[in-house]
Amino acid sequence: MTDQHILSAYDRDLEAIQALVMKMGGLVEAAILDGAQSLETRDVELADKVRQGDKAIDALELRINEEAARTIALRAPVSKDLRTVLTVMKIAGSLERIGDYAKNMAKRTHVLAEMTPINGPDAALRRMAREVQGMLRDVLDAYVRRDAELAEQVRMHDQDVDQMYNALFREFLTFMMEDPRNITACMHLHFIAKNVERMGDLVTNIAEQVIYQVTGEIPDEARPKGDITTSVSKVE
Amino acid sequence: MTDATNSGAQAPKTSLIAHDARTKKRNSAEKRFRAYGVTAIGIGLFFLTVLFYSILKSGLPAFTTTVLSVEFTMTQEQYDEAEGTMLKTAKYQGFFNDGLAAQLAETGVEVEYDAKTIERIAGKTGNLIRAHYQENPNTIGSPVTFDLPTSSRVNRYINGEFTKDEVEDSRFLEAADLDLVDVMLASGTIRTVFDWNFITGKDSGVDNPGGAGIGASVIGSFFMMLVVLVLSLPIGVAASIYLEEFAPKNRWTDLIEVNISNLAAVPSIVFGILGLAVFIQFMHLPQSAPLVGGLVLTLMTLPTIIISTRASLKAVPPSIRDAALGIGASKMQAVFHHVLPLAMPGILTGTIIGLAQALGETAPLLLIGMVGFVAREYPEGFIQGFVEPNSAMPAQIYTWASRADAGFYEKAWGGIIVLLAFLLTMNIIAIILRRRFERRW
Amino acid sequence: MNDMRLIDRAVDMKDIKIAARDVQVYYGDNHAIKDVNVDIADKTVTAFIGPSGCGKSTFLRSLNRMNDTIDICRVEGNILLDGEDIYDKQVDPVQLRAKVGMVFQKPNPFPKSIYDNVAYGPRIHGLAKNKADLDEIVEKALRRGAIWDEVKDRLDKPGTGLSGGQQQRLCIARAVATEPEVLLMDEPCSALDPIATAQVEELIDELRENYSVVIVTHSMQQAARVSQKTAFFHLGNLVEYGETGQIFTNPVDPRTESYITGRIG
Repeated sequence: MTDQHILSAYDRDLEAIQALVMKMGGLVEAAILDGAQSLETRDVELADKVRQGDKAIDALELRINEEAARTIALRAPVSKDLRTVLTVMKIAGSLERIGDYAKNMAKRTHVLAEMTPINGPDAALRRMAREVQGMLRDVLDAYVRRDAELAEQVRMHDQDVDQMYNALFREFLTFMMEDPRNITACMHLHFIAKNVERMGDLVTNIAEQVIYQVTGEIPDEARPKGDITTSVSKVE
Repeated sequence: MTDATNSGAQAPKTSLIAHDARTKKRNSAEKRFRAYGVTAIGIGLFFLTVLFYSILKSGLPAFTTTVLSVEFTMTQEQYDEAEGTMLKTAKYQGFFNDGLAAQLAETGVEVEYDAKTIERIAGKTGNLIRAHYQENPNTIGSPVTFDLPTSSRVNRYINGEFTKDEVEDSRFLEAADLDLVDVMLASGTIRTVFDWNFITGKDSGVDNPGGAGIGASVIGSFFMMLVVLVLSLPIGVAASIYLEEFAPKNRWTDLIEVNISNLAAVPSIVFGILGLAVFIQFMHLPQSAPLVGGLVLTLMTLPTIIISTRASLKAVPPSIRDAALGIGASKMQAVFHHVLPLAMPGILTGTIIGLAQALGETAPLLLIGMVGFVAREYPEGFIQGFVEPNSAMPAQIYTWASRADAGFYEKAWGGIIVLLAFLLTMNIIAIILRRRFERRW
Repeated sequence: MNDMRLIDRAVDMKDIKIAARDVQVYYGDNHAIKDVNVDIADKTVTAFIGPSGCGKSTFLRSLNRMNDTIDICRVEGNILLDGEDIYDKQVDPVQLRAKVGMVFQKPNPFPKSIYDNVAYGPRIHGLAKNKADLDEIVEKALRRGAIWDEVKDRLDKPGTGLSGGQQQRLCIARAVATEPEVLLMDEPCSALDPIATAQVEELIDELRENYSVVIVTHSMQQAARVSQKTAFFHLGNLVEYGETGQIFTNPVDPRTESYITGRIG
């Protein structure tokens, strides 16, 4: 079985739209890394760059959605091609959200830059962001290679991110209890941590879309969740 | 909507195995209709068989003739003696009779006969024998076998057309002669042989059916068909192509179309009288000539050819014309390169059918004098073939059938067989052409 | 990278191949085409869509004067091919049709060999000086028709022995062989199965490099798949003419919308 359509323009359309997704993924990866970096070094300029970059990501999402609609209208895709177009839209949506979180991180960097730094959580946050960026890179890899196994691994990996978030959560609680002047900064840092954890969830969504794209089925078994903060009432 | 489906659901359930009254009625109607069809074809085949049987039965004897076969030797003395007398042929006849008598005695014939009997059976033989020795003097002294034609009455007796009891004694035949004929038949002295003269020969006088052949009139028909083919094919095809492909569709072309259809239905005798008036009385072309016959038949065949040609041009799918025009062929190129070759089998078939029809046509020939003309001679050359008076096959048959001597009746049937053979050949050629040239699109 | 155009559907309207101005077509008393104005671009696939009897085929046939063969048909207005009015008195329709080739609904190869089918046009137009020349033209045309590999070993076999899709590609090769500038296609895939249709569509897409292609189709999907510009005809009027993606995702005229969404026929 050949993977080519008789109508080669159809292949070109599908490839082009997926290339847009990859391009968007690259931009989002960079935004995560730069966001985390700017946070750690309190680099306002880099943070501004991330905020500016989000516009390009949003534009790309719009573009992908337009092209997807166009492909549906003009090519009437079915089966695998239909899944490609559908997942492309969803992945683009998830990436756009991730981009938004990265932008949010950069925004908060501005606020945090004017406060007394709290040592410790910055590095942990950066590790967490790196982790998420790594997951995103893997899932985009899995998407390009149509590798459901890798996607499944990424999906399972989210647990680690959740656990890192739990640890941070406790750390922030401790800081805040120690010194109430830390509360503002910790609240911001906590939002950042929560956003990174959300990014991980969105990457998991993308992984699910990759699995759907390859197998035609959305994985339904519950994925292991490490976020237990909803049940945490106090720190021992 | 829901009401309709509900009422439909209330219809009683029927089984597929049990036939309801309506189905039975329908099935028996269909069976009846098939039976009608088979009957109709059966009746047709029955009549065809009867027709062929009677034609063959009556006509086949025309292709054979009976001969009296005698072997004898004429010595030089006998030859000189015969040439020396006044009644030379009578003397030859005498020698022949002696030879026959010797041959009969050898086989032990015990029937009474005399010279008159032999003359009634074989006619006056002296002429033929003398002619032979005059032409071949070197055979004098050596044995020669003579196959002399028997008289037409003996011929017909041998063919079983009458019995001994029916014979009324006359100067042509006596019942007693037939005893001798029987004996000679049994001994092989009288034999039945294939009569090439009937196929290739010329017409004879009214009192000699045995010597009549259809050959001359076949040649007449051939020249006529040549005229018809050469004139009607180009004229007919050109007219059809113009009408079908080029002529604007308006009242005039409609009128022409209607008239062509009408012409095809005009009785052939009308064409005959037209030919008489125009070609013979006005243009002073020779009477009874194949040229005139051909012209008349051309007029008659043209509508047939035009109609069949137009039909086959119409049958060429318009997509072929579009294809040719679409890549920039002119109208004429489209017609001559693509449409005409595809229509060719149909055109040829139509032409051959038209020719076959013309070949069998008698009525117009009546009026231009081909019927009744006795084709005693072959034409002298190719040009003369067109203009010298001649007969044609159907005219010859008609002429024979109207002659008094019963022997010609048989010849007429034989002529019909020849004519049918030609028609059959032409139809087979038409079928082969169609098969050969037919192309799918 | 931002300027990377997705599918090269962008249509450069600088090169107008055919311009129709206030074209009216009458069949006897029937006004079949009303006031059609349209600019057909070079090196573009333009699709005409619309319900049966909307006049799209009629208009297509008036672009190479195939309507001339119908007695009662009358065309008014101007149709300009490279700025020259094709209905000018001095224009020989035969010459025009060599420039504006046509492919028909039903594959209609001549009942001749594959070679002769393709060679016929070049022969009557005298495009080949000798046999070798003609061979070359035939091969080139068959390659352009994307059928060379399938028939190169059986050029002397009748063209009617090919499958429907091959026949249609042969007809396209035959049309291409006369070196036309415009190719008109009147529902070229309506008699073909989906795979053959896809092959012909792929071929049309390739032909776009060299020709201006105008295709009439009953299948909106086909118009969507192969064309860069789409014109929607309805009741003899050109309702909407625009970029194909725009027509199929966001048509301007409510009639176009109703037609492409299956609400009017």
